[in-house]
Amino acid sequence: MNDSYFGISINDKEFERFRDLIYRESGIKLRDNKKDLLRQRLNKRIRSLGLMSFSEYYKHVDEDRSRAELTELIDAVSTNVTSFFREMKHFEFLTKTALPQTFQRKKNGPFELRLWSAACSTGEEPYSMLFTLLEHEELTSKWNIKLLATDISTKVLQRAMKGAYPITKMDGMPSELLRKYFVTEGDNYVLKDKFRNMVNFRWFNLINNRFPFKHKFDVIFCRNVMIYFDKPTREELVHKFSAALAPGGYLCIGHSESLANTSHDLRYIQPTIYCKP
Amino acid sequence: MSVEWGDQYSVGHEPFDEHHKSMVRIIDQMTELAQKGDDHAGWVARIDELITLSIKHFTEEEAELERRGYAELIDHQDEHRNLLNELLEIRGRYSEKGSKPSLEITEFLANWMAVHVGETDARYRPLFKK
Ligand SMILES: C[S@@+](CC[C@H](N)C(=O)[O-])C[C@H]1O[C@@H](n2cnc3c(N)ncnc32)[C@H](O)[C@@H]1O
Ligand SMILES: [Fe+2]
Ligand SMILES: [Fe+2]
Repeated sequence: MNDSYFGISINDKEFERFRDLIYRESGIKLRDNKKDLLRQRLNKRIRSLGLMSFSEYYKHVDEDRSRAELTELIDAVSTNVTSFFREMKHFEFLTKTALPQTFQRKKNGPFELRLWSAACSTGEEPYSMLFTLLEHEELTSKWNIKLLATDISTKVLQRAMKGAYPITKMDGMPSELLRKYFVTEGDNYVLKDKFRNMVNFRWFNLINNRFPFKHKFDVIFCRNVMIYFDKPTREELVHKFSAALAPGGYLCIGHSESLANTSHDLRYIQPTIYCKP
Repeated sequence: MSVEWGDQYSVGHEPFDEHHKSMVRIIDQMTELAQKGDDHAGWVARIDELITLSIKHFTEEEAELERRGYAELIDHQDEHRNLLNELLEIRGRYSEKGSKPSLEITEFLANWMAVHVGETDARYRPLFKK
Protein backbone atom coordinates (compact mmCIF):
# COMPACT_ATOMS: atom_id res chain seq x y z
CA MET A 1 0.00 0.00 0.00
CA ASN A 2 1.21 3.46 -0.81
CA ASP A 3 2.24 5.56 2.18
CA SER A 4 0.42 8.61 0.89
CA TYR A 5 -2.77 6.64 1.20
CA PHE A 6 -2.47 7.43 4.91
CA GLY A 7 -1.63 11.08 4.36
CA ILE A 8 1.70 12.71 5.19
CA SER A 9 4.55 10.22 5.33
CA ILE A 10 7.64 10.23 7.50
CA ASN A 11 11.07 9.15 6.31
CA ASP A 12 13.76 7.49 8.41
CA LYS A 13 15.73 10.67 8.87
CA GLU A 14 12.70 12.56 10.11
CA PHE A 15 11.82 9.72 12.46
CA GLU A 16 15.37 9.82 13.85
CA ARG A 17 15.08 13.53 14.60
CA PHE A 18 11.77 13.10 16.39
CA ARG A 19 13.13 10.14 18.23
CA ASP A 20 16.10 12.19 19.48
CA LEU A 21 13.89 15.08 20.50
CA ILE A 22 11.46 12.87 22.40
CA TYR A 23 14.31 11.08 24.12
CA ARG A 24 15.93 14.35 25.18
CA GLU A 25 12.72 15.77 26.55
CA SER A 26 11.04 12.77 28.15
CA GLY A 27 13.55 9.94 28.39
CA ILE A 28 11.25 7.83 26.23
CA LYS A 29 13.20 5.70 23.76
CA LEU A 30 10.96 5.01 20.79
CA ARG A 31 11.64 1.68 19.19
CA ASP A 32 11.37 1.26 15.44
CA ASN A 33 7.92 -0.23 15.86
CA LYS A 34 6.67 3.22 16.86
CA LYS A 35 7.34 4.84 13.50
CA ASP A 36 3.92 4.01 12.16
CA LEU A 37 2.29 5.08 15.36
CA LEU A 38 4.04 8.44 15.28
CA ARG A 39 3.00 8.95 11.68
CA GLN A 40 -0.62 8.02 12.31
CA ARG A 41 -1.02 9.98 15.49
CA LEU A 42 0.58 13.17 14.21
CA ASN A 43 -0.96 13.33 10.76
CA LYS A 44 -4.08 15.10 11.88
CA ARG A 45 -2.15 17.47 14.06
CA ILE A 46 0.21 18.44 11.23
CA ARG A 47 -2.61 19.03 8.81
CA SER A 48 -4.62 21.04 11.29
CA LEU A 49 -1.61 23.30 11.68
CA GLY A 50 -1.59 23.78 7.91
CA LEU A 51 1.83 22.13 7.59
CA MET A 52 2.92 19.80 4.81
CA SER A 53 5.58 17.51 6.20
CA PHE A 54 7.16 16.07 9.32
CA SER A 55 10.20 18.28 8.79
CA GLU A 56 8.03 21.37 8.88
CA TYR A 57 6.35 20.06 11.98
CA TYR A 58 9.71 19.45 13.63
CA LYS A 59 10.62 23.07 13.02
CA HIS A 60 7.29 24.16 14.46
CA VAL A 61 7.85 22.14 17.67
CA ASP A 62 11.40 23.37 17.95
CA GLU A 63 10.47 27.02 17.61
CA ASP A 64 7.54 26.95 19.98
CA ARG A 65 8.83 28.76 23.04
CA SER A 66 5.80 27.91 25.14
CA ARG A 67 6.67 24.21 24.71
CA ALA A 68 2.98 23.52 24.31
CA GLU A 69 3.60 21.76 21.01
CA LEU A 70 6.20 19.57 22.62
CA THR A 71 3.58 18.46 25.11
CA GLU A 72 1.26 17.62 22.22
CA LEU A 73 4.01 15.59 20.66
CA ILE A 74 4.81 13.64 23.82
CA ASP A 75 1.10 13.07 24.42
CA ALA A 76 0.85 11.61 20.95
CA VAL A 77 3.58 9.03 21.37
CA SER A 78 3.37 8.00 25.00
CA THR A 79 1.73 4.77 25.99
CA ASN A 80 -1.01 5.13 28.55
CA VAL A 81 -2.42 1.65 28.98
CA THR A 82 -3.33 1.03 32.59
CA SER A 83 -6.10 -0.45 34.71
CA PHE A 84 -7.50 -0.51 38.23
CA PHE A 85 -5.54 -2.76 40.57
CA ARG A 86 -3.01 -3.65 37.89
CA GLU A 87 -0.36 -5.89 39.44
CA MET A 88 -2.57 -6.75 42.37
CA LYS A 89 0.38 -7.94 44.40
CA HIS A 90 1.45 -4.36 45.06
CA PHE A 91 -1.88 -3.45 46.61
CA GLU A 92 -1.75 -6.53 48.81
CA PHE A 93 1.76 -5.52 49.78
CA LEU A 94 0.46 -2.10 50.74
CA THR A 95 -2.05 -3.50 53.21
CA LYS A 96 -0.03 -6.41 54.49
CA THR A 97 3.39 -4.81 54.83
CA ALA A 98 3.92 -1.22 53.76
CA LEU A 99 1.15 0.34 55.83
CA PRO A 100 1.75 -1.57 59.07
CA GLN A 101 5.49 -0.87 58.76
CA THR A 102 4.88 2.81 58.14
CA PHE A 103 2.53 3.10 61.13
CA GLN A 104 5.12 1.46 63.29
CA ARG A 105 7.86 3.73 62.01
CA LYS A 106 5.79 6.89 62.48
CA LYS A 107 4.09 5.90 65.69
CA ASN A 108 5.27 9.11 67.30
CA GLY A 109 4.05 11.20 64.38
CA PRO A 110 3.74 12.97 62.09
CA PHE A 111 0.53 11.05 61.40
CA GLU A 112 0.77 11.47 57.67
CA LEU A 113 0.95 8.89 54.94
CA ARG A 114 2.76 10.16 51.88
CA LEU A 115 2.29 8.18 48.71
CA TRP A 116 3.22 8.99 45.14
CA SER A 117 2.03 7.49 41.90
CA ALA A 118 4.85 8.71 39.70
CA ALA A 119 3.46 7.94 36.23
CA CYS A 120 -0.20 7.88 36.95
CA SER A 121 -1.61 7.90 33.40
CA THR A 122 -5.42 8.20 33.46
CA GLY A 123 -5.65 7.78 37.23
CA GLU A 124 -6.48 4.12 37.74
CA GLU A 125 -3.28 3.56 39.69
CA PRO A 126 -3.55 6.38 42.26
CA TYR A 127 -7.27 5.73 42.72
CA SER A 128 -6.53 2.06 43.34
CA MET A 129 -4.01 3.15 45.98
CA LEU A 130 -6.64 5.39 47.52
CA PHE A 131 -9.29 2.65 47.59
CA THR A 132 -6.78 0.32 49.22
CA LEU A 133 -6.13 2.85 51.97
CA LEU A 134 -9.78 3.66 52.51
CA GLU A 135 -10.80 0.01 52.51
CA HIS A 136 -8.58 -0.41 55.55
CA GLU A 137 -10.06 2.39 57.53
CA GLU A 138 -9.41 0.53 60.73
CA LEU A 139 -5.74 1.17 59.93
CA THR A 140 -5.80 4.52 58.23
CA SER A 141 -8.63 6.52 59.82
CA LYS A 142 -6.50 8.60 62.11
CA TRP A 143 -3.91 9.21 59.44
CA ASN A 144 -3.75 12.12 57.12
CA ILE A 145 -3.47 10.77 53.58
CA LYS A 146 -1.28 12.71 51.16
CA LEU A 147 -1.53 11.09 47.77
CA LEU A 148 0.36 12.68 44.90
CA ALA A 149 -0.14 11.56 41.30
CA THR A 150 1.97 12.88 38.43
CA ASP A 151 2.47 12.33 34.73
CA ILE A 152 4.20 14.01 31.82
CA SER A 153 1.13 13.88 29.61
CA THR A 154 -1.37 16.65 30.17
CA LYS A 155 -3.97 14.74 28.23
CA VAL A 156 -4.01 11.78 30.59
CA LEU A 157 -3.82 14.06 33.64
CA GLN A 158 -6.97 15.80 32.53
CA ARG A 159 -8.74 12.49 32.23
CA ALA A 160 -7.40 11.36 35.58
CA MET A 161 -8.74 14.48 37.26
CA LYS A 162 -12.16 13.93 35.74
CA GLY A 163 -12.17 10.39 37.07
CA ALA A 164 -14.66 9.13 34.49
CA TYR A 165 -14.29 5.56 33.23
CA PRO A 166 -16.42 3.75 30.64
CA ILE A 167 -18.73 1.26 32.30
CA THR A 168 -17.77 -1.33 29.69
CA LYS A 169 -14.16 -1.26 30.89
CA MET A 170 -14.87 -1.82 34.55
CA ASP A 171 -15.76 -5.53 34.52
CA GLY A 172 -12.99 -6.42 36.92
CA MET A 173 -14.02 -3.98 39.65
CA PRO A 174 -15.78 -5.43 42.69
CA SER A 175 -19.33 -4.09 42.85
CA GLU A 176 -18.93 -2.86 46.46
CA LEU A 177 -16.12 -0.59 45.35
CA LEU A 178 -18.13 0.70 42.41
CA ARG A 179 -21.06 1.49 44.67
CA LYS A 180 -18.99 3.15 47.31
CA TYR A 181 -16.67 5.31 45.23
CA PHE A 182 -18.47 6.01 41.95
CA VAL A 183 -21.68 7.45 40.58
CA THR A 184 -23.06 6.52 37.18
CA GLU A 185 -23.24 9.29 34.59
CA GLY A 186 -24.32 8.19 31.14
CA ASP A 187 -21.89 5.53 29.93
CA ASN A 188 -19.38 6.24 32.65
CA TYR A 189 -18.63 5.50 36.23
CA VAL A 190 -17.47 8.78 37.69
CA LEU A 191 -15.52 9.07 40.90
CA LYS A 192 -17.39 10.88 43.66
CA ASP A 193 -15.98 14.37 44.24
CA LYS A 194 -15.02 13.63 47.78
CA PHE A 195 -12.65 10.88 46.65
CA ARG A 196 -11.45 12.62 43.53
CA ASN A 197 -10.29 15.48 45.71
CA MET A 198 -8.19 13.20 47.84
CA VAL A 199 -5.64 12.76 45.06
CA ASN A 200 -3.37 15.65 44.10
CA PHE A 201 -2.66 15.53 40.39
CA ARG A 202 0.35 17.41 39.04
CA TRP A 203 2.29 17.60 35.82
CA PHE A 204 5.77 16.25 36.37
CA ASN A 205 8.58 15.03 34.17
CA LEU A 206 10.51 12.18 35.77
CA ILE A 207 13.71 13.09 33.97
CA ASN A 208 13.85 16.43 35.78
CA ASN A 209 17.21 16.68 37.46
CA ARG A 210 15.69 17.98 40.62
CA PHE A 211 12.81 16.47 42.53
CA PRO A 212 11.19 19.43 44.28
CA PHE A 213 9.47 17.55 47.14
CA LYS A 214 9.76 18.97 50.63
CA HIS A 215 8.77 15.81 52.46
CA LYS A 216 9.92 12.25 52.03
CA PHE A 217 7.56 9.60 50.69
CA ASP A 218 6.53 6.43 52.48
CA VAL A 219 5.57 4.66 49.27
CA ILE A 220 6.36 5.37 45.63
CA PHE A 221 4.73 3.53 42.75
CA CYS A 222 6.59 3.95 39.47
CA ARG A 223 5.26 1.25 37.24
CA ASN A 224 5.45 0.49 33.56
CA VAL A 225 7.22 3.64 32.53
CA MET A 226 10.87 2.71 33.05
CA ILE A 227 10.50 0.13 30.30
CA TYR A 228 10.52 3.08 27.91
CA PHE A 229 13.74 4.48 29.35
CA ASP A 230 17.29 3.35 28.66
CA LYS A 231 19.58 2.09 31.37
CA PRO A 232 21.33 5.34 32.31
CA THR A 233 17.95 7.10 32.59
CA ARG A 234 16.55 4.30 34.75
CA GLU A 235 19.56 4.32 36.98
CA GLU A 236 19.41 8.05 37.55
CA LEU A 237 15.69 7.87 38.22
CA VAL A 238 16.09 5.14 40.82
CA HIS A 239 18.69 7.28 42.59
CA LYS A 240 16.25 10.18 42.67
CA PHE A 241 13.50 7.94 44.03
CA SER A 242 15.83 6.63 46.67
CA ALA A 243 16.62 10.19 47.76
CA ALA A 244 12.91 11.03 47.85
CA LEU A 245 11.99 8.05 50.06
CA ALA A 246 11.92 8.09 53.85
CA PRO A 247 14.20 5.45 55.38
CA GLY A 248 11.98 2.38 55.52
CA GLY A 249 9.91 3.64 52.57
CA TYR A 250 9.05 1.41 49.63
CA LEU A 251 9.44 1.62 45.86
CA CYS A 252 7.19 -0.52 43.66
CA ILE A 253 8.15 -0.87 40.01
CA GLY A 254 6.49 -2.63 37.07
CA HIS A 255 6.81 -6.36 36.50
CA SER A 256 9.07 -5.89 33.46
CA GLU A 257 11.48 -3.59 35.22
CA SER A 258 14.10 -5.55 37.14
CA LEU A 259 16.72 -3.50 38.97
CA ALA A 260 18.97 -6.54 39.23
CA ASN A 261 21.52 -5.12 36.86
CA THR A 262 21.14 -1.50 37.87
CA SER A 263 23.29 0.07 40.56
CA HIS A 264 21.18 1.37 43.44
CA ASP A 265 21.17 1.55 47.22
CA LEU A 266 17.74 0.02 47.85
CA ARG A 267 17.13 -3.28 49.56
CA TYR A 268 15.45 -5.98 47.50
CA ILE A 269 12.28 -7.26 49.21
CA GLN A 270 10.66 -9.33 46.50
CA PRO A 271 10.34 -9.02 42.73
CA THR A 272 9.50 -5.39 41.84
CA ILE A 273 9.46 -4.23 45.49
CA TYR A 274 12.37 -2.40 47.10
CA CYS A 275 12.92 -0.72 50.45
CA LYS A 276 15.04 2.30 51.31
CA PRO A 277 17.42 1.25 54.09
CA MET B 1 8.92 -18.69 44.55
CA SER B 2 7.28 -20.82 41.97
CA VAL B 3 4.02 -19.84 40.35
CA GLU B 4 1.04 -22.10 40.88
CA TRP B 5 0.02 -22.44 37.27
CA GLY B 6 -3.73 -22.95 37.52
CA ASP B 7 -6.59 -22.53 35.08
CA GLN B 8 -6.81 -18.82 35.77
CA TYR B 9 -3.75 -18.51 33.55
CA SER B 10 -5.44 -19.96 30.48
CA VAL B 11 -5.63 -17.45 27.64
CA GLY B 12 -8.16 -19.50 25.69
CA HIS B 13 -5.71 -20.52 22.96
CA GLU B 14 -4.21 -23.93 23.50
CA PRO B 15 -0.84 -23.59 21.77
CA PHE B 16 -0.18 -20.39 23.71
CA ASP B 17 -1.20 -22.03 26.97
CA GLU B 18 1.32 -24.77 26.19
CA HIS B 19 4.06 -22.23 25.50
CA HIS B 20 3.34 -20.51 28.79
CA LYS B 21 3.49 -23.79 30.67
CA SER B 22 6.81 -24.70 29.07
CA MET B 23 8.25 -21.30 29.97
CA VAL B 24 7.14 -21.71 33.56
CA ARG B 25 8.63 -25.20 33.63
CA ILE B 26 12.02 -23.83 32.58
CA ILE B 27 11.83 -21.11 35.22
CA ASP B 28 11.01 -23.75 37.86
CA GLN B 29 14.08 -25.71 36.79
CA MET B 30 16.14 -22.55 37.06
CA THR B 31 14.81 -22.01 40.57
CA GLU B 32 15.95 -25.48 41.55
CA LEU B 33 19.37 -24.83 40.08
CA ALA B 34 19.64 -21.54 41.93
CA GLN B 35 18.72 -23.24 45.20
CA LYS B 36 21.32 -25.95 44.69
CA GLY B 37 23.98 -23.46 43.78
CA ASP B 38 26.60 -24.22 41.27
CA ASP B 39 25.63 -25.89 38.01
CA HIS B 40 26.77 -23.05 35.80
CA ALA B 41 26.44 -24.97 32.54
CA GLY B 42 22.96 -26.23 33.39
CA TRP B 43 21.86 -22.73 34.35
CA VAL B 44 23.13 -21.17 31.13
CA ALA B 45 21.50 -23.94 29.09
CA ARG B 46 18.13 -23.16 30.74
CA ILE B 47 18.50 -19.46 30.00
CA ASP B 48 19.26 -20.22 26.36
CA GLU B 49 16.27 -22.49 26.20
CA LEU B 50 14.06 -19.81 27.71
CA ILE B 51 15.32 -17.21 25.23
CA THR B 52 14.62 -19.49 22.26
CA LEU B 53 11.17 -20.35 23.50
CA SER B 54 10.33 -16.74 24.36
CA ILE B 55 11.26 -15.56 20.89
CA LYS B 56 9.14 -18.29 19.33
CA HIS B 57 6.20 -17.62 21.62
CA PHE B 58 6.28 -13.83 21.36
CA THR B 59 6.56 -13.96 17.58
CA GLU B 60 3.61 -16.31 17.23
CA GLU B 61 1.48 -14.52 19.79
CA GLU B 62 2.11 -11.12 18.21
CA ALA B 63 1.40 -12.45 14.72
CA GLU B 64 -1.89 -13.93 15.85
CA LEU B 65 -2.91 -10.74 17.65
CA GLU B 66 -2.00 -8.68 14.62
CA ARG B 67 -4.02 -10.98 12.36
CA ARG B 68 -7.02 -10.40 14.60
CA GLY B 69 -6.54 -6.65 14.62
CA TYR B 70 -5.86 -6.47 18.35
CA ALA B 71 -5.96 -2.82 19.49
CA GLU B 72 -3.32 -3.05 22.25
CA LEU B 73 -0.71 -4.86 20.18
CA ILE B 74 2.02 -2.23 20.39
CA ASP B 75 1.92 -1.97 24.17
CA HIS B 76 1.85 -5.71 24.40
CA GLN B 77 4.92 -5.94 22.17
CA ASP B 78 6.72 -3.49 24.43
CA GLU B 79 6.40 -5.86 27.36
CA HIS B 80 7.69 -8.76 25.27
CA ARG B 81 10.66 -6.84 23.95
CA ASN B 82 11.52 -5.60 27.34
CA LEU B 83 11.60 -9.10 28.78
CA LEU B 84 13.68 -10.30 25.87
CA ASN B 85 16.20 -7.54 26.50
CA GLU B 86 16.33 -8.48 30.18
CA LEU B 87 16.92 -12.11 29.26
CA LEU B 88 19.69 -11.22 26.84
CA GLU B 89 21.31 -9.03 29.44
CA ILE B 90 21.07 -11.79 32.03
CA ARG B 91 22.58 -14.21 29.52
CA GLY B 92 25.44 -11.79 29.00
CA ARG B 93 26.21 -11.77 32.69
CA TYR B 94 26.74 -15.53 32.61
CA SER B 95 28.89 -15.78 29.50
CA GLU B 96 31.85 -16.12 31.84
CA LYS B 97 32.02 -18.51 34.74
CA GLY B 98 32.07 -15.93 37.53
CA SER B 99 28.47 -15.31 38.50
CA LYS B 100 26.34 -17.79 40.43
CA PRO B 101 22.74 -18.70 39.56
CA SER B 102 20.49 -16.26 41.37
CA LEU B 103 17.10 -16.51 43.02
CA GLU B 104 16.53 -12.82 42.41
CA ILE B 105 16.55 -13.62 38.70
CA THR B 106 14.22 -16.60 38.93
CA GLU B 107 11.84 -14.66 41.16
CA PHE B 108 11.82 -11.83 38.65
CA LEU B 109 11.04 -14.23 35.82
CA ALA B 110 8.35 -16.11 37.74
CA ASN B 111 6.70 -12.84 38.69
CA TRP B 112 6.94 -11.56 35.13
CA MET B 113 5.15 -14.64 33.86
CA ALA B 114 2.44 -14.39 36.51
CA VAL B 115 1.72 -10.73 35.75
CA HIS B 116 2.20 -10.81 32.00
CA VAL B 117 0.17 -13.95 31.36
CA GLY B 118 -2.29 -13.40 34.21
CA GLU B 119 -3.00 -9.75 33.38
CA THR B 120 -1.53 -8.61 30.05
CA ASP B 121 -2.19 -11.74 27.99
CA ALA B 122 -5.53 -12.06 29.79
CA ARG B 123 -6.64 -8.87 28.06
CA TYR B 124 -6.67 -10.60 24.67
CA ARG B 125 -8.64 -13.59 25.94
CA PRO B 126 -11.96 -12.30 24.52
CA LEU B 127 -10.51 -12.63 21.00
CA PHE B 128 -10.46 -16.39 21.40
CA LYS B 129 -13.88 -16.79 23.01
CA LYS B 130 -15.83 -19.31 21.01
C1 LIG C 1 1.96 2.63 30.56
S1 LIG C 1 1.58 4.06 31.52
C2 LIG C 1 1.70 3.39 33.16
C3 LIG C 1 0.53 3.75 34.03
C4 LIG C 1 0.53 3.12 35.42
N1 LIG C 1 1.69 3.49 36.19
C5 LIG C 1 0.43 1.62 35.32
O1 LIG C 1 1.40 0.91 35.62
O2 LIG C 1 -0.61 1.10 34.92
C6 LIG C 1 3.04 5.06 31.33
C7 LIG C 1 2.87 6.52 31.70
O3 LIG C 1 4.13 7.13 31.88
C8 LIG C 1 4.07 8.47 31.46
N2 LIG C 1 5.42 8.98 31.20
C9 LIG C 1 6.25 8.70 30.17
N3 LIG C 1 7.40 9.38 30.27
C10 LIG C 1 7.32 10.12 31.41
C11 LIG C 1 8.20 11.05 32.06
N4 LIG C 1 9.40 11.35 31.55
N5 LIG C 1 7.76 11.62 33.20
C12 LIG C 1 6.54 11.32 33.73
N6 LIG C 1 5.69 10.46 33.17
C13 LIG C 1 6.06 9.86 32.02
C14 LIG C 1 3.19 8.39 30.23
O4 LIG C 1 2.60 9.64 29.92
C15 LIG C 1 2.15 7.32 30.64
O5 LIG C 1 1.00 7.90 31.18
FE1 LIG D 1 2.14 -11.81 25.68
FE1 LIG E 1 2.02 -14.97 26.11
